[in-house]
Amino acid sequence: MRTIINSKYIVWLLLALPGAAMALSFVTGEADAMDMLHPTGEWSARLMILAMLIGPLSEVAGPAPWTRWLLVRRRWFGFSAFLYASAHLVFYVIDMGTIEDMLAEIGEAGIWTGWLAMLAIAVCGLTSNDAALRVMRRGWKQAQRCAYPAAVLTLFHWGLLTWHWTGALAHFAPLILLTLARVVRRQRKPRKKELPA
Amino acid sequence: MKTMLLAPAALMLAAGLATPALADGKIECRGGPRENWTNVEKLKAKLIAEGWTIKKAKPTRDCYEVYGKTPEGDNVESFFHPVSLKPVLILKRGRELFRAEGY
Repeated sequence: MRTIINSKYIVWLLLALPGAAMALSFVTGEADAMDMLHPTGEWSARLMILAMLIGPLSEVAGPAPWTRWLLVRRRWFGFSAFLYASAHLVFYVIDMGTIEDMLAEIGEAGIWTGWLAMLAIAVCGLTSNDAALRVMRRGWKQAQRCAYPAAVLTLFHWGLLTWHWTGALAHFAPLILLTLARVVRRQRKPRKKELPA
Repeated sequence: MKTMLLAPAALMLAAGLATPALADGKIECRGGPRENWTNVEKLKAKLIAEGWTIKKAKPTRDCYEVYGKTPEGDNVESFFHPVSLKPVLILKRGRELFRAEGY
């Protein structure tokens, strides 16, 4: 059982499963590009939330085998979020059909929030590897902080477009709650005295 | 303390995942029983004659929901009364372009 849980292939397979189901419905003609927009976007948001949740969750829950398991795989969840977001963009382009149509609606709040969220997710996703970590060194962590504006923009993109604020907020609520819990926890923790130079 | 924080977070996550993603509650068209509805093909023909391009037209709850492009060139999601075929709500990427009086 432990071998299965720790197998990276199993984890990647699980992460790919929703995408495979979506791709199947698209290639069989059951769903068109427009139908793919919501599930790809929703899965991207879910995986982004999961990836971002792991840090504060581990801090609040304390060291445990399951938090270690999640921490080791955090980057995979984030990268999967980027892949689902990319699929979301591809289906948007297919659905719109022309650049003129896309430009015509870029000023809509529901749309530009999506473009900016995609940009922020791309920064996180494309630097989410060891090579980028080696090259960017201290800048890498700053690049990964793009996840925060990405999350806020995704929430607004979702809510403004669909008007389903309850569903969107219910998804983001655990992240908001745990991030707040981490902030409170850090503020309560006595800071270490700085050593004289 | 941990449980107090983690339990509501887990509950909210579960609630979020359980929220039906495609349930559309943007408007109530008050369309009445479906057996009295006008055929959706009539709506399509009417809109095409007015200069719309239709991507998709389908019944959603008590409305006809149409995705397409208006004669003005806006890509919209729109809701029509299923009996009178009059527009009830027209949205351009979530922004209201039109809402019928009384809705």
